[in-house]
Amino acid sequence: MESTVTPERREAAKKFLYRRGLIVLIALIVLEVFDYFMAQWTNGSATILMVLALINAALIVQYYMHIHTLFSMEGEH
Amino acid sequence: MAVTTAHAHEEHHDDVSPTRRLYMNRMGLWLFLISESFLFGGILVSRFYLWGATRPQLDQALGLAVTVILLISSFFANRAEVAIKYDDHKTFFRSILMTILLGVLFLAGVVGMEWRTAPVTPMIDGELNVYGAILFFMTGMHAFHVLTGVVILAIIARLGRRGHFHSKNFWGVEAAVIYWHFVDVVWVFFYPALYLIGSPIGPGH
Repeated sequence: MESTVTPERREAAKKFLYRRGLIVLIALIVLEVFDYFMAQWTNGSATILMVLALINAALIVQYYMHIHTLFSMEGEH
Repeated sequence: MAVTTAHAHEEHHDDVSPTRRLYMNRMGLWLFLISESFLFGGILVSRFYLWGATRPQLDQALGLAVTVILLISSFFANRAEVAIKYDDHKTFFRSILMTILLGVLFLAGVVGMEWRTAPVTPMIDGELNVYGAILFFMTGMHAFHVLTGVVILAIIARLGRRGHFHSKNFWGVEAAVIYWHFVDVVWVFFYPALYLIGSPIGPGH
């Protein structure tokens, strides 16, 4: 943490990250339920369901696992 | 001589800046996760090779429920990581406990319920049954990783309670949480592969 960051800004950044985590969770659950119904409509199409799984995985890797930190020297996400 | 070498190595180690060390830790963890993904990728390929466009008739409601439970656990794991990076110890501790609880619930759902109610067995009349073998291997290997994650998170929670982690020292939490998310990513692929893809086969397979 930089000492120049004010407590208010730190609090706002923390709240933003909490909120983003919740939005990602909602998106993941919606996609997973959509996955379930797509399986019924497409008679279990492997291509469609694996593409949906890839989207889900990409969301987790980007927003929860912070893969971008691998390509920077940041201490924060 | 050995002492001198060890001392020199220690001094060299201290030369690495905290930011650089964090970067190296992250790189090491990701390389480990990539090696793990080869294992799970191989298992997934086996499923498609052996089951093709068929699957056993598993409990759909249970499959969706355990998947949602694991996704919610990932949300709490992420919350714990953010909390410790901002010195919010109360939220960190609550979130890590929720993650552990949901992980145990997932295990209870898969190992405690799915394994008992699954319509297939690994062996039929002394011969290997591909439906049972793949189902139990995929869920078993994944459950083992979930169990490992629960143990690691419990250690992190205990250390966190003692004040070991804070905004300047959060790598332990970050590593445990990223591992937990990886286990989640694996299940995101396993869930459709086990429960949704292909036509259900009748009992007796």
